[in-house]
Amino acid sequence: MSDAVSSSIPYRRFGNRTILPGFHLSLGYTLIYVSLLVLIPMAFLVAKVFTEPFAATWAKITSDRAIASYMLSFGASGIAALINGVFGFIIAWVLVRYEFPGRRFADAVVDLPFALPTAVAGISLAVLYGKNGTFGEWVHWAVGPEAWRAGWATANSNIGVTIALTFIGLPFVVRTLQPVLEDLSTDIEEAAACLGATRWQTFWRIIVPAILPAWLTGMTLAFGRAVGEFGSVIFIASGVIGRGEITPLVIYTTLEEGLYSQAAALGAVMLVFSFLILVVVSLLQAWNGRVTGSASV
Amino acid sequence: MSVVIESIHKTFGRFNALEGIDLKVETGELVALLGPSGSGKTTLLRIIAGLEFPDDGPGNIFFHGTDVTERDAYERRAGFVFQSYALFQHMTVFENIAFGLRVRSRATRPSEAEINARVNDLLGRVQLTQFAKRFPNTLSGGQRQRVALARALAIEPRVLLLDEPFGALDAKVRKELRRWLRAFHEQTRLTTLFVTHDQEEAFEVSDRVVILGEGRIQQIGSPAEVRANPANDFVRKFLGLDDESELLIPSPLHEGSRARELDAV
Repeated sequence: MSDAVSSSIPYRRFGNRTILPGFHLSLGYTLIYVSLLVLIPMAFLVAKVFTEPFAATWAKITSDRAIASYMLSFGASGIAALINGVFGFIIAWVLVRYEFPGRRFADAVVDLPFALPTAVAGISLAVLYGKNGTFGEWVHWAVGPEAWRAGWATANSNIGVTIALTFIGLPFVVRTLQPVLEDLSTDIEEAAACLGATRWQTFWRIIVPAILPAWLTGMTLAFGRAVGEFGSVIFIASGVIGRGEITPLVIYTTLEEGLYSQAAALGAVMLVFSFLILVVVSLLQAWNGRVTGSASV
Repeated sequence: MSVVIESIHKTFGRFNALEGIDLKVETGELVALLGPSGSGKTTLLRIIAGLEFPDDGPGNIFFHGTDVTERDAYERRAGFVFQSYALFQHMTVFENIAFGLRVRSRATRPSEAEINARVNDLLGRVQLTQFAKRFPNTLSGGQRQRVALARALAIEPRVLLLDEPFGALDAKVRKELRRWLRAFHEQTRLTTLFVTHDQEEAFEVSDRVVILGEGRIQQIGSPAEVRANPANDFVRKFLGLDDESELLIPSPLHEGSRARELDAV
């Protein structure tokens, strides 16, 4: 989507004359704002890492405990983003394409994970999915107590973490897909049908390519939000050292031990990983834009 | 291939879009469905294509003697051209035209070489050969409409259905495409129905004109017949012939009504 804008609107360059005023002012404002809000805090985070001898810090960020926490944080966030990709699409589709009683209500409910304090969400989910909670009880009954203990528990477990991250990420996919689906006219689907495409072919060959950039963006946002999530997860994670900790929790306990530079280093590691993932996704977007010429989506 | 429509009814809520349509289009005919907006002409075309379904009842649609009333659009093989072109924006012109061939089941799908040959032939016929690799949003309206036409023809449709095909184009391009369509039809003799609200267009292009109004067929006939003998007041009014004598014997006395007639055109 962003590609569409950048490729159709020529960049304003220094020295070019334009009828739109205020370029220097707005550029300066943008740089200062982004610096103050994002770049300077990030720079301090990285600087903090090197205030103490690096050997101990390196040992910390490459410890088994830290690595396990990266795996859980990024793994669970990735799974949650994919789950949201599928179900968020279905929700957006239904909200855009069908009129039914309660549509507005359903539309509003989608935003609740945005608005709810994350701790409240975490506690609710932990209770609901706990062994004695409504959903947890079913799962406990369905898989049996042994499997439950062996890793199929839906609370105090990594499955619980994924559930919480799915919950908080849902609105991103729905809200980024909705406007694109609204713009997608039904006559291209009708045209595909007249040309002999089955509904399945129409979906994969016509609808998916048209919404793919927005879909990727939505899942990336959901992923980014999930990686940084803390409040809701700590209530439903097992917190077992080396197995059930998300990275933000490891950072938190490290801070409590007074090891500030090590905590900063863990934060910097997350930062690097997140940045790499965002870069990969935007490369994917650019590639998709090139092969499909979807500047027009 | 002939298209036969028998007592088709269609209601939207309380609105009767079509109230009992009977129509037979012979093989190789080019028929215009002409009428004011809201007359049901587009609805009728969409029902023929299978994009809309008639109300339950006695109505039937036959393609060359086969009852297709219950068939889905993708089984009917009707080439449909939309007023909005409805091109696939993420595909090149070439891929747009090839789409209908690529989605065929493995057993009936032509080989890559055959697809290439067929698409290139069509590109030549609509005079867009040099645009094969372009994306639709880089083309003009007239070019897009020709892509849409080539795409519809690629599947070798049994019948070609055009919904206000030139409606969104400027007057000059419209005239050119109109002539092109007529010439194209002379070559291929593909059974064609096209919807328009522009009587000049209908009369110039088609073999027969079907005038629709208020959900009913008001008159069917060749352009000359319809113009010479409007069947009823509706047709007379729609064609702007309030009184036949005005057209035949223009006189200074009728100056006022002549002006009205010209306005209507």
